[in-house]
Formats: sequence, C-alpha cells, structure tokens
Amino acid sequence: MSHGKSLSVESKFMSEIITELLDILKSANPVQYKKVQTLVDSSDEDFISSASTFLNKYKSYLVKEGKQLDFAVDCYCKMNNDMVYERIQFLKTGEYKNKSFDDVEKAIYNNHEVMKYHMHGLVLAQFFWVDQYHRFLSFSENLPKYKSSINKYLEVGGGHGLYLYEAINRLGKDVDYDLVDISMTSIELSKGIVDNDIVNYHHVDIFDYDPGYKYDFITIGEVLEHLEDPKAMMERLEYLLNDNGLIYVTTPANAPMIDHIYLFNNADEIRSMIDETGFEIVKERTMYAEDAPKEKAEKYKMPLMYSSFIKKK
Amino acid sequence: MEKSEVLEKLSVVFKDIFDSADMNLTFETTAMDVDEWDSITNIELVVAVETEFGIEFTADDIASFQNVGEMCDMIVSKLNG
Repeated sequence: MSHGKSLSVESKFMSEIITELLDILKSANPVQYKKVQTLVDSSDEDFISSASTFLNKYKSYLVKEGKQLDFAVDCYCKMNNDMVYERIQFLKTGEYKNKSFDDVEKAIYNNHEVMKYHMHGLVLAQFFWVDQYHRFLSFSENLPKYKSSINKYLEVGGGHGLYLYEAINRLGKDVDYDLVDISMTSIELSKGIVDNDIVNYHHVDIFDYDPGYKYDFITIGEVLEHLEDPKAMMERLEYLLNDNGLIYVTTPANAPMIDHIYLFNNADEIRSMIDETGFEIVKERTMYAEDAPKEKAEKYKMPLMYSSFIKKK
Repeated sequence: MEKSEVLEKLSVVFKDIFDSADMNLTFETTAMDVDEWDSITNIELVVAVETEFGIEFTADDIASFQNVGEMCDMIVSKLNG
C-alpha cells in the first residue's frame, strides 16, 4: 500500500461541472470523493455527457432557488452519512430499521430538513453511484427500442426528474407524459429540474389514480422498497398498463436507507414478486453498489441494484 | 483510556483492515492519506472499531470524523462517558 498519494483526474473526458463538484467533495468527504473519482476515471464520453447535461440543469434549478453546488454536495454527504450508519446497523440486525410507512412518515417525510437533504443528495447519487448510473444507462439505452409503441407514458414516484427528462429526450414531445407522486417535495424538484410544460404532474396516491386510459410504458424506479406491500403496487401497475405495454422497474436488495421499509434479500425475491404479480422479464440487469469481489459483497451484505423491463404474461 | 492509548489500539485495527503491517497511523491521518480507505473499507473499519472498543457510533458521530485524531477523541469520550 502507499500513503499520501493524491488521486488525480485521469479520465480522458471531463466537464466543468463534474470537476467543480469533485473539488467541493474532496474537502467535504474524502471517502466519497475517492468513490466518485474512481467512477469518473473509468467512465466514457457518454457518462460525462449525460451527467453533465443533467447536472447543469440541476445547477440552474439550484441557482433559481438561491443555492449553489456546495449546498448539493453538503446534502449528498449528509445522505451518505445516514446511509453508512444504516448499513452498519443492517449488518448487525439483518433488518431495515423502519417497518411501516407510518414510521418513515413521522421520521422522514414530515421532517422538511431531512427530506430536503435526502432528495437533493439523491440527485447527485444518480451519477455518483455506479449502480445508480447503470440503472439509468439500461433505461436510456433500451427505451428507444420501444419508441414506436409508446403514446402514453407514466412515471410513478419521479424523485428528481432524471428518468422523465431522459424519456422526453428519447421519445420526443408527442408522447403524453404523466407523473404520479405522493410527495409534493418530489414533484416540485422534478418540475424544477425538468423545466418544461409538457408533463402532467399528479399529486395523488397511485391507488387513487385512474385516468380512464391505459399506459404503453410505465417507469417505477426506487419506489417498491419504500412500500409495505410492493406486490400491491405491482398489481396496481398491471391494471394501469396496456396488454402490450412495458414497465421499467428498479429496486435494490440489501439497501438500508432512512426511508426504506421493504427488504428484498436478493434478486430472486424480486424476480418472484414480478412473476407472482402477472409479469415476465424481458431484459434485466443487476449490479452491486460497490466494485468488490462477490465474497466480500456477500459478507458485507452490499446493496444490489436490480432493474428490468417487464411485460404482462 | 488516554487518547494515545486509543491511537495505539486503533493502529492495530487499521493495520488489520488495510492489511499493512508498516502503516504509520497518526492523529492527522485522513482517508486521503490511505489509498485503500474507500467507501467499502470505511464500513469495515467502523464496524471493527466498534467491536474493538465495545462502543457504538451514531450517524452524527460517523459524520463528524475529519481525521483519526477526531475519531480518537470520540472513542475516549464514549469510553469515559
């Protein structure tokens, strides 16, 4: 091993905004800086292009809100510190701390300060975490294949707007876009970042939402683990989807976070849920949250990202 | 336990986690000084330190460590508190 060796920017591709974010992160959280720098070093032009485009949109939104990138990095670090703590507790107990939606609502959703840094932290995580980037990549690469059959598009739980933004880029503006979310904080963040007038935002519980038509494509990313009964959600989506429609679903296994409730212990449990709710897998991808040997990943119950395109049986 | 004793015990934990017998741990050491101190080993490290000293860190504790010296201060405070 060597000590005192500083990391340098080795990627052939770099952008001003990523350099700026890394500079702030370096002094704020060296451990996270190393993780992100390693990802950037091994990245290609597509990564830099996608990340820079979206992060610049995010930066514009922050400026409108009177904030700067150091606010974003601070939120990212706070969210990561929470996650490290939750992962350590998870290693000890084998369970997620919160067991019910009410638990999370009291501790997180009704706590504006925590919600704020958690949501903003997740924006940077979309490109700073390798598993998050790969679930985005899978979506971005495969969505255009289905373009000709998509007229009505729904996203459930839009988070920060990245997937909605990419869907519009890939499918064009002639598609009808709906976003359904129970969190107004999330809707406002999506609206602010996506920044256009072609999306219909619905602040409503998906179980109370019935537009009177079916969707050709539904995206539901990182939502199932927030629910007490993810099967019920899948069954609701089955109702809202056209018989020939597709769903892009992502959810992690072994991923303790302050607002996660439902624990999937492995990818097979996710596959079983998909099968039991009337769907079959068209294409899937799994990836550990950290670049580690399988033995170590299993020993430390490392989060595993699962993503797939599914259709009705 | 004195801060210097904590550093001595911590050195053993660090050498084990980072598999480095000649590692020179000081109060000023940070993650930037140790190549292998990344997001994976950071979790191994915190778990190993908790086990070694029989303590538990909170989320705020973990967030507050800027260097090994601050980690030592936190351990001393927990052991003596």
